[in-house]
Amino acid sequence: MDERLLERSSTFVIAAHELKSPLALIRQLSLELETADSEQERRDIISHISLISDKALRLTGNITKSANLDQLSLEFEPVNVTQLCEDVAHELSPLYRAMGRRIEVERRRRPALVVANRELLRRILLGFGDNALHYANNKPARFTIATSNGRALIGLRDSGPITRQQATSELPGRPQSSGLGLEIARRFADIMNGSIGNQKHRDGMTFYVSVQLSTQLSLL
Amino acid sequence: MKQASVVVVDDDITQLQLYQRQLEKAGFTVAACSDAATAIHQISADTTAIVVDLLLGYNTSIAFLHELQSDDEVADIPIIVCSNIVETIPEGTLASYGVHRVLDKTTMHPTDIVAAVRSVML
Repeated sequence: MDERLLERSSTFVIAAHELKSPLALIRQLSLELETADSEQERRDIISHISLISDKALRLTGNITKSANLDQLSLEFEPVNVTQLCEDVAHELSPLYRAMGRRIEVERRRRPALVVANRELLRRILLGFGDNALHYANNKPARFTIATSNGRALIGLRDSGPITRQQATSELPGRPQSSGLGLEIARRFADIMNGSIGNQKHRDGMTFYVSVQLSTQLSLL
Repeated sequence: MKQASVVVVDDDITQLQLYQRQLEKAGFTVAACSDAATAIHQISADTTAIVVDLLLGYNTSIAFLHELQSDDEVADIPIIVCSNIVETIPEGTLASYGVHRVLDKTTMHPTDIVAAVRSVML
C-alpha cells in the first residue's frame, strides 16, 4: 500500500478510536435520560451530554483543520497570551466544574504578547485543557506563561502521570493515550514556527507550546 | 442486611458518575475511583465486585488486575471489565485475572452494569 495512504489509514483508525469514547458515553447518557428520577437529574445528564459533545466537536474540528493546514491562508498577529489563557479557561470551566475539577491561569505582572495565529494557538490550549481534565483531581490545572530568549512557553500544569521520557521530536503522550491530540498540537505549532514540549514534575506534567514573543511592547 | 459494596474504577469522571448513579439506585454502596492507586486502597475482603475500565490513566488495568491477583484476601473478588475496545480483547485472556464479565461500553445499556454485578455476586 502507498505509504501516504497507509499513514492516512492509521490516522483514521486513531481518530475513530478517540471519538468512540465520547460517542459511547453520550449514547449511555441519552439512554439514562429516559429513566431519570428527578428534574435535577435530567438537567445534570443533559448538561453532561452537551459538554461531552462540545469536547468531541473540538476534536473533530482540530482533525479537519490539521488535515487542511496547507490550504489555509493564516494570519499572524500579536496575541495577548494571558488574555487568551483566561478565555480558554473560561470556555473550559463548565466542563471542569461538571467533573468536580478546576482550571486556573497563573497571574503575571506584565502581559505576554506573542506572534501567532490566534485560532490555532487557542486550539492548542483547548486541547491541553481537554487532556488535563482527567488529571486535575488533586490540584487545579493551571495555565503558566514563561518567557525566555525571545520565546514564550505557554503551558498547562496538571497532576497526572509522568511520560517515560522528556520531550523529543516525537512527543510521547500519556500512558494509554493515542497521542493524536499532541500530534495535532505539534502540527499547529509547527506552522507558527513554534514547538510543543513537556516538562516532568514530581506530581504531574506541564505540556507547553513555545511561540515567538512579539517585540511590540519592547518598542513602547 | 449489609449493603453489597462495589468498587468502580474509570478515569472518565462522567462515566464513573453514571455507573455510581445506576448502582446506588439499585441499592449498592459504591466507591468510585478515577485511578487504580485509589481503587487499591478501597478494595477489601468485604468488596462484592470490582468494575474496571481497560484503559486507565495512571496504570494499565492489567497491572491493577495483577496486583489484585497477588493478594489472597481479594484475589477471588469477581471483576467486571467495561471497555470501548472489547473487540480487540482475545477471548479467554481476562479470565485468569478473575474477570467474570466483559461489557462493551459502545453497546451496553446503563442498567447492564447492575445486571452484571448481580450476576457475579456470590
